[in-house]
Amino acid sequence: MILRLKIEARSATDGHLLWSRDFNNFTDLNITDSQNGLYLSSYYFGPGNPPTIISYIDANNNLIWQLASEHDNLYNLFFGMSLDENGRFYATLEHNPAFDDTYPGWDKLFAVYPWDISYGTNANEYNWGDTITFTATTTMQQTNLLTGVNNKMQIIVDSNIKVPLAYSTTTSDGNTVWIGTYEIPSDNIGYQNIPFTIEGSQASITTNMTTHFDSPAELTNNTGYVVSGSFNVYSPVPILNSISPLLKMAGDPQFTLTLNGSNFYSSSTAQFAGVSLSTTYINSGQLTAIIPASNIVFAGTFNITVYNPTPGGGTSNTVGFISNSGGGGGGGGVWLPTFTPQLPISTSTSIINILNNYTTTTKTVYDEIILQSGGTTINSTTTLTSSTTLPSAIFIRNLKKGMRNADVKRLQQLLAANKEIYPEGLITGYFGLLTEKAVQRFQLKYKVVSSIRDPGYGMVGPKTRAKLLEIFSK
Amino acid sequence: MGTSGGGNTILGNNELYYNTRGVWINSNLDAADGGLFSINKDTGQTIWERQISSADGGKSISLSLSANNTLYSPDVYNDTFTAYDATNGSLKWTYQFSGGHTNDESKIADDGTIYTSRENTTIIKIYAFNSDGSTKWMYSTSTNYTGDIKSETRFALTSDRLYFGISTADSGSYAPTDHGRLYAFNPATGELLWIYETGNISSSIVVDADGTVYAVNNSSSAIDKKIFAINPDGTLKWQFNTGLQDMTYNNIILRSDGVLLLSKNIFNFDNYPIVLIDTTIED
Repeated sequence: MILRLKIEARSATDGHLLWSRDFNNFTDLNITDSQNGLYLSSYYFGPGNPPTIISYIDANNNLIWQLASEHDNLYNLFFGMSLDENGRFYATLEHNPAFDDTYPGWDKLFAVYPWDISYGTNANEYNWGDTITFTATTTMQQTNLLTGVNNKMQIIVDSNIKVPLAYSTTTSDGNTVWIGTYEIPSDNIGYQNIPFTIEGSQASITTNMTTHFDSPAELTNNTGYVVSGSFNVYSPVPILNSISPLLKMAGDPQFTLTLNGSNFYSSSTAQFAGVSLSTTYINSGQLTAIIPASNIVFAGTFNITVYNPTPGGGTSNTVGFISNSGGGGGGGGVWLPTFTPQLPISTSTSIINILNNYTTTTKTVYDEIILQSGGTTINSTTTLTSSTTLPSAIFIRNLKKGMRNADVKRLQQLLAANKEIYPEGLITGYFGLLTEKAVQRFQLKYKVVSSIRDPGYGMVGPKTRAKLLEIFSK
Repeated sequence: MGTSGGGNTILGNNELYYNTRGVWINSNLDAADGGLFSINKDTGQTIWERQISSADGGKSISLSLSANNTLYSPDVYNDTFTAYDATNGSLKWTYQFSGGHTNDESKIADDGTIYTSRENTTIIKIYAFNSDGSTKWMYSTSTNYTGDIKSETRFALTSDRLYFGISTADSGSYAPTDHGRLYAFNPATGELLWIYETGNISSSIVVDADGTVYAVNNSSSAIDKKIFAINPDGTLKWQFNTGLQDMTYNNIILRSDGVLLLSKNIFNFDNYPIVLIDTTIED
């Protein structure tokens, strides 16, 4: 009784053994390919269900795959192996009730092509909710021709989502085409390069590649062939429908803003006048964001947007958030988008700090302000895209009654921001009596002078200039 | 392939040629013929087919394909050696042996000469046919063998050597005889160049680029098994004694990287050896 087979690899230099491999079957040693891989047929003389197996062993004695004939109660023998220049393997398979030629069996000539899977998708880039169509073309046939059992294919998306592929057609060159679809979810994904693997499972094949079929499971262990790929999913432009609250009082403490819309995901960021906020993703239709108190020091209407990172993504439409100036503002406290004396007390440096974080467009306005503050008359009707601005509080020279210049005008603008100090609010550029009194109120309020007898009372000297800078820089 | 025995395959440019051997189809020894086929190797579509023989007792039939697109196949049942036009399957010529059976192996030289053999109980003849079917030369081993000559004769061919290995058996397949030899001929003339006493050779013979020929003694269980590397001049390059084992080597392949692949079948599980030999024995 032949019980075992051993394959030996020996040096042709001296015959010493390099490696060996055992089989449970009787065999011939058949054919090697251009990579010195070995195609080996093995079979078994005996009753029962003897498997007849073709094995492929690479040059380093790794078993790559085995193909078994699975015909019960037959003696199955492989004969006549050939290997062509394309790596296609040809052989005959003989089935006999008994290996004695007493009764007829039947035979098959078959070809085993190098197992290959190529794939295509209906696009290279997708958005949320798109349906991706996978088309896999493979040398694996719809059915294992030696056993009649259907083969299977699937795609595993993002390591865990299994998408079955259904046999579609056979090409003119004998490859089979398998198709499956997968709908990209619309929730909590942003731009991603999503990996996938295509797995094929062929009946009666054992390979060194692990597959992950569930139901039905692999016909035998590791029956697969696996190729990998990926596709890109871009996040869409977010849409902002509403915010809550819509209104806060200038000077209120920090609060949480709720943003409602669509196309939000975990990397979406709420923005306040173009500046990103600390944002929490709730779901694809809602975000929350922390509005720090410093953002609403001033009254005004501020642009609220949502930003999804690129590629894809972008900035949503704008919804205005109102920081009310408080009582006495008239008109419900709605800030008018003009540069008017309605502005609350603020400082230019605070504005600078904000504007430095503004979008380019807004910064252009800021630059304009700075330029104007350097000596050019500020157009009181200059429209800003957002919050208040005051001219620079930096004065490089002393000012006193009787002077007329742009610095005086800036001074008047600053003083007029507080009606207690400059109730008249006239912006003339001329340092007259009203301006002098406003300066005096400022000096007293901020204790620049200790009494009205101070020689600098009513004049903008070094101490007053410093105080102006201090106050309007807060 | 239908009701028949398994066959061999050989590749042409775009064709795959294969044969089937005839089989007995019932206990009355009614036989089904085998066939010879040409198919498109990409599509499997049959190009031509022809009947070739009836049942032969279980031997698969070799195929050889020459550069001039001639298929050579022995017909063991009819004791002939036949050449077919591979283009259409038509018969080109047939050589009828007288007595004995052909062996299932043939080799084709670059000049179109085809080498094959036949044997009966005690002698074996080696034939060199020209491509037109005429006999170029023939060599007879005469009565050198006391045991029955087994059919497992093997060829290897280089530009200036035709190697031929013979195994014998007194009775039964595995009787303890060891009378096989390795022959070297001038393939052009049939001149016997040398004989090396290897013992039975029933596995294939391979030759490397330097002309070293590798063969394995495949004798019965009572005789040590040896692997031989023999120089083209018939001197021993090395030999490797794998010991007394209940097994036979049945094939050798020489890989392009200089590794010999050998297969052997183990007959007794209890004595299943672990072969780990790391010495070279030259004697």
